[in-house]
Amino acid sequence: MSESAAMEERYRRALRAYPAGWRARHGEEFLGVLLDVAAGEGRGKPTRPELLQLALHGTVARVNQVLPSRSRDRMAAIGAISGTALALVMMVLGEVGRWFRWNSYNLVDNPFGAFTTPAAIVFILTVAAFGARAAGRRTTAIVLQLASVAASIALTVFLGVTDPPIPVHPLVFAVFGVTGLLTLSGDPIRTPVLRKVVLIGAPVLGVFLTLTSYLQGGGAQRTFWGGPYLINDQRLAWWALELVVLAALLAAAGPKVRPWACLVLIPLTSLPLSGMFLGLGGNTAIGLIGIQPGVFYVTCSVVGVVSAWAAWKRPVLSFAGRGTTPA
Amino acid sequence: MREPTFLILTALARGRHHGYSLLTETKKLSGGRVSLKPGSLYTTLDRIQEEGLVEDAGEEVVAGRLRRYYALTDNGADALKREADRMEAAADAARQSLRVRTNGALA
Repeated sequence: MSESAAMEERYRRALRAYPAGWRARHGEEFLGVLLDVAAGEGRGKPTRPELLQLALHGTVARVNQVLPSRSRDRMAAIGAISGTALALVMMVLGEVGRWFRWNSYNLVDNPFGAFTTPAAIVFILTVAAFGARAAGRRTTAIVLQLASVAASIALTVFLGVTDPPIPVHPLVFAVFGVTGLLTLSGDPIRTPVLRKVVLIGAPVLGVFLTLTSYLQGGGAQRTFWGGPYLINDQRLAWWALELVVLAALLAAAGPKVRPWACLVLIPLTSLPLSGMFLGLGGNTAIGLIGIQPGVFYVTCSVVGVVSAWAAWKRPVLSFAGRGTTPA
Repeated sequence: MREPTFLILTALARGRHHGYSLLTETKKLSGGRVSLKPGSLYTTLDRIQEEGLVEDAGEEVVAGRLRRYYALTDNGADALKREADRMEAAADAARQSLRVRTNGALA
């Protein structure tokens, strides 16, 4: 076999990383490009980085077959918003809360330096990844997000083996692992609309949840980590995980399935939402305002039906421009 | 819009290209700074074709190798123009700030 035939054979084998349908459509032209590039560089065989790149992009092409990039970008946006918002909430209530909340942990409780628990590492990395993305540093954001996921896994193991004085429920790290991986699955700010939704939505949601959770906790820090009260790390993480999974499934739904996804998934969000806001009410001892679960059940069901209709009919809304005279 | 996408659309705005000529053209347009690999090029081409910015524009066989050509669509031209306008506005703002800085230093 001649050298060029051997090189072609090696490239053909490497291209098996791509799905069969993609190879049928692009395989021959792509092979031609690879051979042209090798000829231009005076090479007689593929390089290892080149083969690794082909394996990586082939995997991406396989994922794109199942989940197109638009769906993945929407899922990434959900991961970025929820992860960043939750990190802000837990930093304020759980980590730095001991500096301004009553009934806080103090030095005899062995807090984590200026913070309260090692989970602060995950929260800081998540918020830093968001900041890097907002500043347009895509590679830095990806690295920080990966570090956040790795830290979540490492701390789950480490804190599970040791017996920390202030416990952090493993579900907290599970949520940040899931949201981190979702964020990495696409580009959460690829389009101008996604960019606005993520960069505004994450801090706004974080501030809103922090304020409502602060009210529910009565301002005490000691109720947050492993406390038996309404809002603690475990419950907040569980509700966040439910909402993230439901939202991600909705984002991943293709056009044909979307009406059904809206009809089923949106009403289901009423369960974690009602739990999250239940503590805002009914406690006459601390005199907070009540939001009954029924409000969420009805509202989410109505929104689900309307969204399903909109996804099915896809109405086009048009408004008269400034130059036109209304009828 | 990421730089590789911008460069690919800019190259196609001048006329149709096949894969290898897109690699060389984008490298030339970036002054050698951006050197796309074939895998990255085709991942981007897949995406921008899906978004309707680029379309197939014929194929031919040259020296036993298939070459498929790609061309910019009207949507692609609009997207490129929007991005170019955005970058121009950002560059103008930067130049204005630098002028203020220089004038402030001279004052």
